[in-house]
Amino acid sequence: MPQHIGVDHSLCTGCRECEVVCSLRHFGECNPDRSAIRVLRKESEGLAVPLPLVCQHCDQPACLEACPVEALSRSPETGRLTVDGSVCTGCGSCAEACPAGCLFMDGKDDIILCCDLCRGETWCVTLCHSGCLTLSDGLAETGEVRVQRLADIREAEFQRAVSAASGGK
Amino acid sequence: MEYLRAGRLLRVDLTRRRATIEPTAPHASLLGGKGINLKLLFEGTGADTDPLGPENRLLFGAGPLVGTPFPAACRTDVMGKSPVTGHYGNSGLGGYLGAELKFAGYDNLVIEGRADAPVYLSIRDDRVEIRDAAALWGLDTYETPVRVREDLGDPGAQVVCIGPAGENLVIYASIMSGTGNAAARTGLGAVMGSKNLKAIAVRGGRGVAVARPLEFLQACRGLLESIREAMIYEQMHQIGITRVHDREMRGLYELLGQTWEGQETIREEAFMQEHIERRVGCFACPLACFDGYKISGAGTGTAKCSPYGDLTWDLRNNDLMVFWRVYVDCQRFGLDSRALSNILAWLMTVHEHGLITSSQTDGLEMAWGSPEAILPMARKISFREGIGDLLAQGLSKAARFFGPETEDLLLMAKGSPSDMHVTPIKTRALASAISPIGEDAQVQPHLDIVPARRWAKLGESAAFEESIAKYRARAERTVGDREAADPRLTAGKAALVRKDEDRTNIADMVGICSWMTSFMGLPVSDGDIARLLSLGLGGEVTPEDLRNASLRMHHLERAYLGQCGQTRRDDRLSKAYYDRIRPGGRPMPELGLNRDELERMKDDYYDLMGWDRDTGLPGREILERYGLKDVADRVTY
Repeated sequence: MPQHIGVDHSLCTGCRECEVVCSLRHFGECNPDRSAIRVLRKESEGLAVPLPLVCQHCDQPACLEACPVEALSRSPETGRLTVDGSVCTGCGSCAEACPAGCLFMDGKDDIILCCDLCRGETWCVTLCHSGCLTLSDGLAETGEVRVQRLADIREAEFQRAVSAASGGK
Repeated sequence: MEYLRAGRLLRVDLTRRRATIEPTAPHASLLGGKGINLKLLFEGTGADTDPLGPENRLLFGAGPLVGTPFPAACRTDVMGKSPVTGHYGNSGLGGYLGAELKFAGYDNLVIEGRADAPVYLSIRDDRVEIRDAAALWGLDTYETPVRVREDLGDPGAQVVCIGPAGENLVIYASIMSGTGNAAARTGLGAVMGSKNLKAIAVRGGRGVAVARPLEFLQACRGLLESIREAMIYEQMHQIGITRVHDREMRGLYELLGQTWEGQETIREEAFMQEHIERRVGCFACPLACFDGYKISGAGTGTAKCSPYGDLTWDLRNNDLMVFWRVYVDCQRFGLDSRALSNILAWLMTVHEHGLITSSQTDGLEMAWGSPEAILPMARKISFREGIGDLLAQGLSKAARFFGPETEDLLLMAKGSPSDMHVTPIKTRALASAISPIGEDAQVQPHLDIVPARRWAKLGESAAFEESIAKYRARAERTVGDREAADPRLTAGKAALVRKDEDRTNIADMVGICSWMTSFMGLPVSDGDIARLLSLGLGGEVTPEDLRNASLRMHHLERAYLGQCGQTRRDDRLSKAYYDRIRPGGRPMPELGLNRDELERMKDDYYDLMGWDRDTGLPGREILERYGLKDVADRVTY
C-alpha cells in the first residue's frame, strides 16, 4: 500500500497552512492555486466548515483511467500516482473523475498537481498544528474507502458542482 | 521580482470608479501593513478631513509575512480617520483577507471617494470591479459574504463587509468577515458605510515569493515546535482562552473591588464546553482561538476573549446566554461589542446615580444586569431606533444630551470608549492615555500587574517585597530599572509601555497576530521575526532594524495626531479612570494614579521618544533622524 497524506477533517481549523507550505516546497512561492492540497471552506451563519483534500493514491484510481494522454502513472518504486508534466494537457478529466476531487490544477502552468509526499519530509504534515493531516501507510483502509469518505463529506457539506470551481481556475 | 512583498498597492477611487496600481517600494522603510497604511493616511488626510466624508481614506494593509506559513501571519491592518475620536482610527482583523490580498498581488488597498449608490469591490488579481450592491444593502454580516460569493460564482473569494450598523453610519460600526473576524475599534465600519461600500471580495493567484523556501519552511517548523512547548499552548489549543480569561476577569474585578450577587456563577469554560460546535482559527494560525457555537434558538457564530467579559462582568450580567444573544446581534449587525459594553455600563451607572429615567431610554429601565436593558440595545443602536439613534452618534454627544453629571461617569480615553474592566494601574493608565487610538488592548505590559495584586493582598510587608523580587529582577533586565515593577511608583512605567508598544507595532507591521508573542505567553520574538524576514526577503534584517522601523512608525503616528490637532493635553483619561482601583471596596490610590503622576509618566514617555515636552509631538530633528524628512516638511503643527 502506498503512503499518503491521511485527512481527519473533524480536526481541521481551516488555517490553510498546508496549502501555502505545499506550494512553497514545490514552487518557491506561497500560492494556494499551485498547491496539491487544498482546503475547501463553506461559510454559513457565521461559522465555517473546512475540508482539506489531497490525493489518496488509490489502488484502482478513477483518475488514471480517465486521463486521455496517459500523463498519470503509478511509480513502480513508491506505488504512488505521479503526473508527467510534459505529457499532461491540463484537460482536468482526472480531477473530474476523482469522486472527491483530490487532484488540482496548477493555477500558473495549467497542469495537474498530484501529491508526491515532498519526496522526503512531508511539510504539510510537519506544519499541520491540528493533527488533521498525518503521514499514513494505508494499511487500515484502501484509498477507495478514504476517497469515498472525503467525497461523502464533500457532498454533504459542499455542492460538488459548485465547489469544483474553487479547485482550479 | 519582489520577495515577501507584493510590491504593489491598489488605489480605488469610488467617486470616479477608477482603480490604479502603484509601487509600495517607496514605503519599504515602514515594513508594511500598519506602517504603510499610516504613511498613506498621513499623505491623504488631516485636520480638515471629515471622517465620514468622501475625502477620508479607508486603508487595508497586509505586511510582508502575511500569506506565508509563519505562525498566524494573518493580520490585515485597517485604518482611516476615525468618526469615534475625530482623529486617528486604527483597527485590524485576522481571518483570511490579508493573505488573499497578498496572493492577488497587493500589499495595501486604499479606498477613496464615495460611490453614488451601494457597491461592492471585487479584486481578482489584476481584475478590479466595482459592482452593484443594491441587493446586498440591508443584509447582515453573516449573509453578505455568502451572497457576494454567489454573485461572483466564486466560493473561494475572501470577503469582508459591513452590516446595518455601518450602513447607518453608527460611529461604533465594525468591518467583519463572515465568520467573526472584526476590525471593530474606532468606527471604521462607518467609514466604509459612508463610502457606500458594502463589501470587499478578494481572490488571488499570483502568490507570495520566498527567497529561501526550504530554510523558511525549516524555520517555521522550529517556531511551531517552540510554540507547542510553551506551557499555555496545549490548553489554548484545546479549549481556547475561556479558562485563562475567566481567571483574568476574576483577578481584575478583585482589583476593581466591585462585587455583586451572582458574579461567582459566571463560568466561561463551562459555557464553552457545553455549546462548542468546533474550534476555528485564522490563516496559518497554530492556535485556533475562536470558539464556534451553534446554539439552538440563540444564534450561531464565533467568539473569543474579550466579549465574554465585556457583556457579562462589565454589565453585572451572569447569564451567558444573554451575553451570547446580544453578542450575535453585534456580530450580525457589525457593531463593536466593546463599545456596546461601555455604552450599556455607562447607562447603567447613570441609572444607578438616578440621572436618567426609563422614559429617556424607550421605557427600558437601565438596571445593572437587566436582560431587558441589554438584549435590545445592539439592534436599537445598529438600526438607530429610539434611544439608539442618539447613542449611534457617540457617547460624548449622548452625555451632553443627558447632562454634565453623566459625562463625569464616562470611561474613555481620547474620545474612545474603554474596556470596562480596565484596571488602571500605572502602566495600563499611561498606555491608554498615550495610545494613539485611546486604548489598544494589545498593549498591556504585564510586569507590574502581579505586583499590584500582591500589594493589594499583602500591603507593606516583607512578604510583599519577597513576592515581587523576581519581578524587580526582570524589570532590571528588560528596562534597566528595578522600580518599574513596583506598582506604587511611576518610575520605569513609560519604558515598560514603550517596550510593549514596540512588540505590537512590529507584529502589526509584519502582519502577524500579537498573540504569538509574549502577550499570551507564546515565544515568537523580534529575533524570530527578523530571522524569518531575512530568509524570506533574501537579505539580512536584524531585530534592531525592526525596532527602528517600529520607532519610525511611532513617530509618524504621533505626527499624524499632531496634524489632526492633538497635543499633550489630549493624552488624557476621563474622570472615571481615577480612583478606580478599590480592592475589597477600599480605595487604594497608590496602585492607581492621580493627575500629577500621569503628567510625570507622560514626561518620561516623551523624553524616551524624543518628543517635545510641551506639545508631546515629534519635531524636525527626531523625524529626520528616523528618515521622515518628508513628514517633517509637511507637518503644520
